[in-house]
Amino acid sequence: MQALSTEHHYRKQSGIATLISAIVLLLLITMIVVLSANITLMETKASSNEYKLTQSFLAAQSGLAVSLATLNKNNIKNIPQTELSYSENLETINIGSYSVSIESLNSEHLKIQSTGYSSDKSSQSTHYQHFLFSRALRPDFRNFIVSPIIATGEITITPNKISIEKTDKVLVWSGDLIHSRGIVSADDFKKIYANDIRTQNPHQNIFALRENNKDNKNLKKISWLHNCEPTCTELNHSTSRIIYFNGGLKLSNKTIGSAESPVILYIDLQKKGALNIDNVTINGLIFVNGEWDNKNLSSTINGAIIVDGNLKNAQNLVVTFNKTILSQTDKIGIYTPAPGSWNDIQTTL
Amino acid sequence: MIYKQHFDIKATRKIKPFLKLQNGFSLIEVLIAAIVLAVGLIGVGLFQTTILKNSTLNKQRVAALNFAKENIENLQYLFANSQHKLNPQSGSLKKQEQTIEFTLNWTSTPSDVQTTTQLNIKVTWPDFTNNGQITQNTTLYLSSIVASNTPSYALTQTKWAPTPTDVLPILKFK
Repeated sequence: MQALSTEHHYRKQSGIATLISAIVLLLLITMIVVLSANITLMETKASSNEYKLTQSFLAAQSGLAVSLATLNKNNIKNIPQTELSYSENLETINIGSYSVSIESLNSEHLKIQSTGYSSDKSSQSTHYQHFLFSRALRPDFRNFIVSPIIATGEITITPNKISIEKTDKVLVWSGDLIHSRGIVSADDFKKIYANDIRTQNPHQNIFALRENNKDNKNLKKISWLHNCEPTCTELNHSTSRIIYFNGGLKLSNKTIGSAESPVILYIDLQKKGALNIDNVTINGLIFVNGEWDNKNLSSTINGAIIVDGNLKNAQNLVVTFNKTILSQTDKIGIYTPAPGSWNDIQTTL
Repeated sequence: MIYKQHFDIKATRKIKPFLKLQNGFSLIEVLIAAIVLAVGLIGVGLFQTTILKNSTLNKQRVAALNFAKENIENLQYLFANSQHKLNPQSGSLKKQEQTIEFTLNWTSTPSDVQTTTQLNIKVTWPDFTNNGQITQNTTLYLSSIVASNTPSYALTQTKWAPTPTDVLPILKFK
């Protein structure tokens, strides 16, 4: 009887042992699963963080792009007098937002700081970049004297319609000595080939601010300028900026720009179109990429002409070289990022 | 009594062969243990399935994000270095990665005033945990604004802004 009781007890004991073994086994499996769950959770967090960080990074970049576009809208030096800050959401669908502060460090130097946020604002990314005012497309008129007409090809023009102040040392360079100063004679202007100023001996009389012809290809990709095609209604006496025309331009009976606020027109005729100006007064600089055949139409340019190609049938163009007007174009330009100035100063999650 | 019983157990252990002790499992005991184990394993198995699904989804999300990032960079380059486009544009791309097909839809919304363009990207892929339907879990959005005709690029393309040192040495005024 006692033996039976003991045996029964053993049975109880061994049953609990089985249960305990089962529970221990279960615990072990659970631990392994929890560990793998932890890894998956970390993976989820990592992918989610990367997603949000990408959103905030792009939002911060967007802030910089929008600020720069706003500043460069008119191609005119537009340094904020005081510190400027604003914030905006990315439009259409809320995939992020940014806030921007602009600090002017001096008259031609800005620092823009942009903070981007992810859609749920859980991730934040801050960047700043320095921007410098840049005068592209033309010589710096504070340091150089340029000629009324510069062309890399043949020029057909009536030289006595080109007026230059006697006090100016206007230099237009070609292969031969043409004239020293003042009004250039007819014979001198028949054929001017302004090639590479560095490879030949410039005789100080005619000066074309022109690089080697082999670099012409560099001109073809200038596409950042404001393009007013097709209406060009904004071309009037109060226009003062760089305006880009991709293709032809025909203007008549207009005054564009003023002595105080001149204009820079860049007309790209490499692929298509022609430039004809009839009874037009342009105050500023005309920059033509390609051949300009004006078909003997009459017009007045108070400033200068640069043609990367031939200038044909321009006998009725009156060109008054005016350094005062040209110097006013000094305020036309764009802000460009200072190389190496981009900085990702803070990224938080 | 307890002491005696304990003594008896010890004595019995010595006497009875080991295998005889094993015979002590009753069917009910084993069943209970098996049920506990089974319930636990089912729970663990279900949990493991969820983990595996989430792990797969994470991999898909990372692949989708990389797809989106790669293409938003391409679009940024494209829109920054071309003429400002006044009309909204859109497009789509597909990418097969293992058995999953990712679909990328992009739209561009131009801002005429500031010559900027907002690029929106949406990447979707089928959610096999939900009968292959596209769900919030399998949709990803990115957005970026680019300034069209970025000046920095253009400036690298032109030599028409020579520095004084480029030209000054050759200028000799009379």
